[in-house]
Amino acid sequence: MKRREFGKFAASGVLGLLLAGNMAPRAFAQKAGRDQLTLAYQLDVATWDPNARVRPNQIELLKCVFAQPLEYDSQSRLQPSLVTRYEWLDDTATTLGLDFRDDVLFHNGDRFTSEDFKFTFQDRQSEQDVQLRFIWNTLDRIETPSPTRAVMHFKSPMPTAPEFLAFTGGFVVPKNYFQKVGRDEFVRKPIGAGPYKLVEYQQDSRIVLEAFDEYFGGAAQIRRVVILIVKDPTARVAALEAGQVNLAVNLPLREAERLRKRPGLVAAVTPTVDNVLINLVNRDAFADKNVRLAMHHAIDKQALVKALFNGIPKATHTLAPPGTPSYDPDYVFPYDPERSKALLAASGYGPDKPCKIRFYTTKGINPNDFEMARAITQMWTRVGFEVDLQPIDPPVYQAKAAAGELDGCILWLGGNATGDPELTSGYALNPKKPFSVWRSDDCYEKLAPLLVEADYTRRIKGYKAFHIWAVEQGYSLPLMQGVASIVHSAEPVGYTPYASGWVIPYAWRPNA
Amino acid sequence: MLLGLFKSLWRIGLLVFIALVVFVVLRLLPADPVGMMLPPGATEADRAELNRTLGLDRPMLVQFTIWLGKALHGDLGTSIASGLPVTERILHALPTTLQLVALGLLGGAILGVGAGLLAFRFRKTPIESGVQVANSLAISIPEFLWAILLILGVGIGLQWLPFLGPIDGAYSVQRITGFLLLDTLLVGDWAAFASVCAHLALPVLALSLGVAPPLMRIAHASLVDTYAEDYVAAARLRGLGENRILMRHALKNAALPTVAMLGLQAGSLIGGTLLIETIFGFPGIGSLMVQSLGVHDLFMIQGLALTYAVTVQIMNTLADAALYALNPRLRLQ
Repeated sequence: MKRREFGKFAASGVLGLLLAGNMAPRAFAQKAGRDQLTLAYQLDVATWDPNARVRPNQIELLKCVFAQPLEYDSQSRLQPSLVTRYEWLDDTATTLGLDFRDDVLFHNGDRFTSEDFKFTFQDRQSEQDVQLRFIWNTLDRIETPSPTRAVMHFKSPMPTAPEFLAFTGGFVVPKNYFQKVGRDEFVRKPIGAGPYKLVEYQQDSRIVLEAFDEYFGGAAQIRRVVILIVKDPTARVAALEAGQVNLAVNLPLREAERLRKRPGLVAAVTPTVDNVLINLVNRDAFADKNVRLAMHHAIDKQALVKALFNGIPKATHTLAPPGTPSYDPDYVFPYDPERSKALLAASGYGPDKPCKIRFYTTKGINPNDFEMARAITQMWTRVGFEVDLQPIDPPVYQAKAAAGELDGCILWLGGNATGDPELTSGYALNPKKPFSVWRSDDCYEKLAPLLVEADYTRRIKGYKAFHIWAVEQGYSLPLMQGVASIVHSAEPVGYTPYASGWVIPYAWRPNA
Repeated sequence: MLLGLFKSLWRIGLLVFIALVVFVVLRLLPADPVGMMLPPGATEADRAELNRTLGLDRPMLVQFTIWLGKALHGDLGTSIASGLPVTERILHALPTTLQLVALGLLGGAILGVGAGLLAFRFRKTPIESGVQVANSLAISIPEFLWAILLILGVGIGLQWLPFLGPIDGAYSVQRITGFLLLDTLLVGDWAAFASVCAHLALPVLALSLGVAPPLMRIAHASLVDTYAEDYVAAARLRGLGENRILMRHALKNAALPTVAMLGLQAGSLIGGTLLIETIFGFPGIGSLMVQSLGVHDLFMIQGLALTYAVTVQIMNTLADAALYALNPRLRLQ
């Protein structure tokens, strides 16, 4: 072959391959029908050892492959899963009895028993790199009187044990398989009892799942799920527009609203059980109760909700947002800028002597975080504050909070899929926790009994009262519910939004 | 020989210095990687224990010495975020980046030198002006913006090419070398190979458009200088055609500055993959770095910084070798 002919041949070949490649995604997109789903997700799993890491929380991805003892439904209500029934066997929240299903199979055909449960929650605590132990460090031992019965004994009260059995890191692994292959091989070929089997995993690129027909909850209607890891939100938006994915998560709200108008796309911007709030520190000007309350009275939450989130989330007035057990719909903290000015004046501040505060915010981590902080800064400035607004990265915030060196208040998204108050105010206002922000003895005095209260109703009632008290002291300024911003194609239908913001492909019911 | 040895030692010293700087800077930052891993209910004892487990409670110099000792044996530590070995994760991601960089350089060289040749061949015509205007436009747009423009125009607007991930979700390719182009060829899956080519087209073009403009300018300027040499006039007197003089005689002599520039471009191009990989969803070391920075994964960031430094040094060495091979005067020296 002459050089010139080869050149022509090569050019045609490359063009042909590109065109062939071009056809492939279109053909694939057409194939994505009622039983196949392609998602653009922002985060990969840290590891396929589901007990190894509890943060960052990739519970949605892990829930596809692994089953949990209990689980949260779309309304964030605790539901049976592997556990059919649970009850406290004492009144000190130190002995928890659990009954299991007897029809659960792992993906390799092994039958789930209480020994698997014990192995996961007790035996694996001896592994140094398994962070599940940081949640279950009060666990003393687990008894397994029968394959379908376990009793958890705690060294100190753990009234939130049922909630944590449905939360981060609480995934059951098959004891025999895990011990036979070892941890490294398990991470390469994970076996769970969840609704999907992992059939292919390309780190930081894609996860391919296929429905597990013997899943104890019934086989998934979406038979094949391809999860593409797309970290850039712009790329996730573009993928939807080009029809390369069926669903994209965590999109900028403006983009979600724009995509809503495109034919064939549906925007699901829904409120979550998370709480956007401002955490205060016990120092400088913030040590003055008048200043803290003036800050709160000056914030027009309705205006923020309307301007930044199209009125979708509800404004929150206590530390429990709507949809969580300790939510109190009757309590409202009023927006009252005049009262705010009066409170500042009472503490000696005025137009000639503004109250100087530092205000931290994340930028681009949560929807409209920086924009919201800027709007709040304006509101505060109007009543007599001089605000030094500064963006902060979460690792820096964590370091400063742990060292007690945070010198300003911070706009923060209090994420809590369980909705249980202990996981939010029970930690954020607990001075004995390393990452709490507001630290004062009066908080701990009120919290301490709640942390060991075994009676659920009394505990929740206690938190309701605690939340109102904390807000009236100005220890934390709740703003609004969190927002999940998801856009998906009209087909397959049946997408189910979760109050926790989770995207659970198993919950899609296109054939319903 | 001695010069070569000196250069090698200098490069090793430079790498150790870079590693030390990155190590110290990361530890001086007021950020807490442990805090990003613990559940909010963790106690102070949990935090102290995790710090101890990760060795973060030791003096900085001790930490660095231990890390360096292990790094010399190929062990870059364990990722704080995932608990997986850093070396394994980097080796898994590196082929994706190298493939992008190699193709980006190749594309940039073809575009840049091609445009330089075109402009020179048709000098003092509207074609030269057109190429120079296009070049000025290209040089003022950064790679990541090209990426977004290409996605909007070619990916979404025309829907000609895919722009998400390294291969279509319908294909599964057994990992052999990690270089997807090569792996698809090795397993003989032509459809998957075509898919990889299509997925590479836009990110490679975005990278190439960042590489090409300076190359075009250098190639063009070098050709102008070369054409002032006597041997070009002599070739004309011998009756050789313009195309032959350009391709056979002038281009080879004008290539040296262009190759030197390409070596420099290679170093900066690998940094450019950070955003390109993130935008196109490629699982390379750039994407890994962005992810690790977000959670302050100390060991992963250190490992990646060292990998970047080593890769840039290797590319500089290759550029030196190419210059050495092309220029007989360097060999005589």
